[in-house]
Amino acid sequence: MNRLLRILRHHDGGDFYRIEQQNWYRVQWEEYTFEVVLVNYTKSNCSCKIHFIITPDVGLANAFFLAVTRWSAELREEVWVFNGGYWGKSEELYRSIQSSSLDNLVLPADLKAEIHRDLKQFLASRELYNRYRIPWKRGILLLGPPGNGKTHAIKALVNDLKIAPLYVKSFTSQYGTDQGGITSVFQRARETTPCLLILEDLDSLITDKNRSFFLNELDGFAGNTGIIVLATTNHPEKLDPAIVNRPSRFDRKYHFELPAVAERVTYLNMWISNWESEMRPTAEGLDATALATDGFSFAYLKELLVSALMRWINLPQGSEMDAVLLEQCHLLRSQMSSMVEHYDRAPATDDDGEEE
Amino acid sequence: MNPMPTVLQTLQQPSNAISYYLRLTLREMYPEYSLFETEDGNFYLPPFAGAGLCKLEYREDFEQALTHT
Repeated sequence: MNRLLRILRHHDGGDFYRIEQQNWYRVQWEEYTFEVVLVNYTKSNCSCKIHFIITPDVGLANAFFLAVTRWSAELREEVWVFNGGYWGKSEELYRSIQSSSLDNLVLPADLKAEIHRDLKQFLASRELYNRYRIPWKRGILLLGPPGNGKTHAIKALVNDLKIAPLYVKSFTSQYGTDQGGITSVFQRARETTPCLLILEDLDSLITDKNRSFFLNELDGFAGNTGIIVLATTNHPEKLDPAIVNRPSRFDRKYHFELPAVAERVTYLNMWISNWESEMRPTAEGLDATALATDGFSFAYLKELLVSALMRWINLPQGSEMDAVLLEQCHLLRSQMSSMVEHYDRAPATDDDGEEE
Repeated sequence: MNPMPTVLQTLQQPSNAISYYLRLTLREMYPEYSLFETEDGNFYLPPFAGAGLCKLEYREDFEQALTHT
């Protein structure tokens, strides 16, 4: 034992090795007892984690290893997210997906129905694709300004279709290459079919350096059967035409425009129905708000409702929400205008507008 | 003490020197036992134990350490 500690200490000096974690466990598993040593260290900015299972029976070590790794690879109220060069699990995203449904997704009725129908039909048509020797894969691109429901639509579709989602936040990592990240992403997608491979803000994921590699994986030197690539972008103009315009890559494109007055009324109503009765605007006030919010995204409508609620709470009792909503609406519109003026004057920058 | 020989020795170690020395030492400590070594990222015991699928006890005669979370 002391010799082992000496080794760890010997390697713990300076910048060459750093022991991050060292544990020696006595493990009880089923009717067996054995020991496991864990050492986690970094060297030259690479993190390494080694486990040793110490047993008199190599078969037992194998069985325990398989039991732990199989259990770890299963998802339990989690979804896989690729970020920083590796796959991790997110409970938070899972919960967010569970709370998103097609019912609480406000979009033009035909757009919502069309995306849903397209995916349902695709998933049900595997045999048909096979019969006609058409690759059973699909690429869908959701385009449009930020805050208009793309992210919500993806979560609602994942929840409704009950198909494995794989989220990609970034291909880059501190210690690896983009190519390595793209390989890991498509490798897991091919192992998880059928699955939804979700690439949000595609324009920020693809760079000049990784584009060619990404296209090779997307086109599939290896087969991408059963993979639905569901990507979003706020800036389609930043995407290479080779990505956007070639049908075998993204064969369906759906445009998420700013909500029209009918969607604004639906959205406002959906939110306001959860408010206490004394907070709610009148029907006329709600219609006036919907008319006054021409050009607002769903994200701005949400901001309007939150700010109106905060303002109303701080006003004397009995104040009418109708007036508060319109006042906040004008305030937000003036902020939107000043932002537009600011960005019109400033040099062009990346704009990662957050979806609602 | 001149630290240079230590630095040079460390630099000359291959990247898997720690695992090599650990394996060597554990093998000498437990000559009758088999050593199963893994770097698989899915082999991580605390959540497995937390789900009640095994019990973990720290060996008291070993200096347990965690310098990051």
